[in-house]
Amino acid sequence: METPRIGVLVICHGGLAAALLETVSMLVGPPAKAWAVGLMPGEGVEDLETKVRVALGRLAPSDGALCLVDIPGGVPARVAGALTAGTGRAVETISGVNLPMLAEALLRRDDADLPALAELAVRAGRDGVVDLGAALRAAAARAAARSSRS
Amino acid sequence: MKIALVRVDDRLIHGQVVLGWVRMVGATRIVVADDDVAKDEMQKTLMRFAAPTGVETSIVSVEEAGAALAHDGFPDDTVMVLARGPRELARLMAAGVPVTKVNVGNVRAAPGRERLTKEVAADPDDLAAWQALDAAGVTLEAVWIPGGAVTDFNRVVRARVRT
Repeated sequence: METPRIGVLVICHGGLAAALLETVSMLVGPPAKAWAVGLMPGEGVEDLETKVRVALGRLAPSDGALCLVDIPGGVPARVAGALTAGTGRAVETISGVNLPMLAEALLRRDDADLPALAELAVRAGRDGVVDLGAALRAAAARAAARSSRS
Repeated sequence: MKIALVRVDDRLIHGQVVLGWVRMVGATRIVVADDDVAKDEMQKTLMRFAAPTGVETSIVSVEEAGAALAHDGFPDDTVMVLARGPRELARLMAAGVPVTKVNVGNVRAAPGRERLTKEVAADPDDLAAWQALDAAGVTLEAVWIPGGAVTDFNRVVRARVRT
């Protein structure tokens, strides 16, 4: 696989980002150009900004960056959001990162530009939230209706 | 219709493994050829949700899958075909589905089934089916996730005594 032109930064409270990135490699293999950044207890905005800048510094100047953060409010979202404007680099930020979103973001970098990749990631993240219990009860009801007809 | 990938994996649509392959080959539809699951509403429901975002699923019997795949049943799609084991695959080929290369994933380990590799076990019928596929010139590659290590599965089945 060629080197992707879009870097992926997972930015979360605590150890979540590192765990997500480590876990997603079980699904899609070890990802290139992807980094986990955590806001650890006792750290503030400046600490996280520094870590994010270090991660972004590993990208080529022309590379875009997709930031996946945990919750829409909070320091990770603020820091990533601040980068979305005014750094000269194309940056998109999405909150609510989950494994389907992260896997999609890592896998689709070759066939999408940054805004399209952000859309794909949002969709995969949303589609990963399913009330399986309700779906299975509906499936069971369909099966029961069919067997009572026959 | 383009058949982009044929994979043997007894978990069929299974998030962990399917995700990478679907995106790698650009599949727009997953065709599961399996008699048991085609009859089971619950399993079908779970598998539909396991398919990656935006990818259609057809979960049908081996016979229905064979008929559709042999006669351009999904004209606009790039298809990934999933079957549980080599015998299902042989039935698809007998129905006229063109298969030249098979991606071999996980095939059930159980008592009475001999381990051929870490991920693939076979009973004598399965082994005979693998060997028939090998003899028919089908390339068999055992590989877990895209970019992972590839085992020449033709060699593995040839190394076994013919049953």
